[in-house]
Amino acid sequence: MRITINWARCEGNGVCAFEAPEVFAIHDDGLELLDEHPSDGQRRAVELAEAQCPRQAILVED
Amino acid sequence: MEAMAEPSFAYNPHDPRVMENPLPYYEILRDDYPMYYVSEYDAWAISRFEDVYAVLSDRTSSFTGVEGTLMQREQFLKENNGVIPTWSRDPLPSITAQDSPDYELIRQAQSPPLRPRAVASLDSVIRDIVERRLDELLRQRSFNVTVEYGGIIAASVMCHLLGLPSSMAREILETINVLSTTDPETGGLSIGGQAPLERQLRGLLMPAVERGRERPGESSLVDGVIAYRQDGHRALSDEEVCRELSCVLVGGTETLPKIVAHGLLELWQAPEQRAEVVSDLPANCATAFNEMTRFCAPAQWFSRTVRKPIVIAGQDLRVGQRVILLLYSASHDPREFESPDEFRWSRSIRRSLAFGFGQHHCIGIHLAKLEGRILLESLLRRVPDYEIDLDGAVRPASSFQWGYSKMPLIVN
Repeated sequence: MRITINWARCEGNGVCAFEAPEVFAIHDDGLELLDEHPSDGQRRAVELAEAQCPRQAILVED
Repeated sequence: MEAMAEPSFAYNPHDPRVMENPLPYYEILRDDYPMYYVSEYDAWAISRFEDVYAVLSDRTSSFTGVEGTLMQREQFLKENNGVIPTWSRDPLPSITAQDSPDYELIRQAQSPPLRPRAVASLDSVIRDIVERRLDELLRQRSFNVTVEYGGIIAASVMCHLLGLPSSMAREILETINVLSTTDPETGGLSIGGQAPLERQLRGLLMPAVERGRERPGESSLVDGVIAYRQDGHRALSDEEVCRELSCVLVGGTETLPKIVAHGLLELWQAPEQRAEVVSDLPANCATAFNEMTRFCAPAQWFSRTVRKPIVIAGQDLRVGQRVILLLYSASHDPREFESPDEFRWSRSIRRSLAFGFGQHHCIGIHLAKLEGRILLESLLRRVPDYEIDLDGAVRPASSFQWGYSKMPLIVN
């Protein structure tokens, strides 16, 4: 899996960090993508993050 | 013989029959009139999940919240005739009625204490508030779980966030509850809309603002709005700071207690589900709360104004028209959720509109989820076999927050 972030859209809402805390972290200065190529075990969490990001700033590709 | 004319279906969010019980209307709207024109308002009532999602996820700036995201009836009655009304930048209106670029900037000024890590650091403060409140409440045989449990705790957490004394919690709760259940004509709460509401909220918030100016460092929420500079140089007046803080104050007080109260009702009515949740509270309460936000969220709709022509669900929307996004209907849409009218605590939810979506997505989502989880965990741990006096439950008519203001919980 590959995660791409649209940094112009991201505003640090952190819904992704709630759904997949091993892949996304929100700091004071915004999002840190902890793992650009998460393992298959993270698939569900990462797809939830993608679906629920209110700014549609996450793209998950195989 | 003349046939009797069938009464034709009519929907209006401020129709007293709708405010009393909107549920039968939503099914008809979704099935037969997914884009329903409320001619009196030049507005489209949108009821299916997919179509509400299409509006909220629009990335072409075709919708704006500048008329307010919770318009009053008298606002709806003034048609725009193709022209978006101008809006003030000085004085700044409530965040809920702003648009880019002001909106994103004032939202950023308020975000830091509501981000995941800042919220997580409130865990022990919230647990402490909850346990002490339960100590008091469990001395009684029964209490109104909406007000005395969820309500007082939500308002207390707001006090903590704003740097206000916790002794103000009840006054805050009563002010907001009264303001959201008044006038069945206007349907209740409008953040930053009606003057009396604004004045009362200003009364509650002014001490926090004055203290924030004198002694920064006690509330990063208040400090953030005080430090905000419009166009990089204009500081906000006391009145404007109060107005900007009102969204978080009201949003953080009004909704959560109703979700938890209704959720506890659902669990009581489904004892096997309650037993499953109770079997592992730390693991299960977050999931149960998630289903509660879908099933029990009292907010019926939010509005937007069409800024650019756009087609939604095959319908042309014209500039100046409004859309009434029926979030509650969307959350019960069988096209998105299997058996949506069944409460299932462990339901797997892929997409949710319970916290909105897009530009105005709920800024308090992480705090709501943490508080919700703790409220459930703590009560279920101490009173796993509570009962509800359903005859004593009250859900007043409302066009906005249709939720239980009274939910008598009996301690066994």
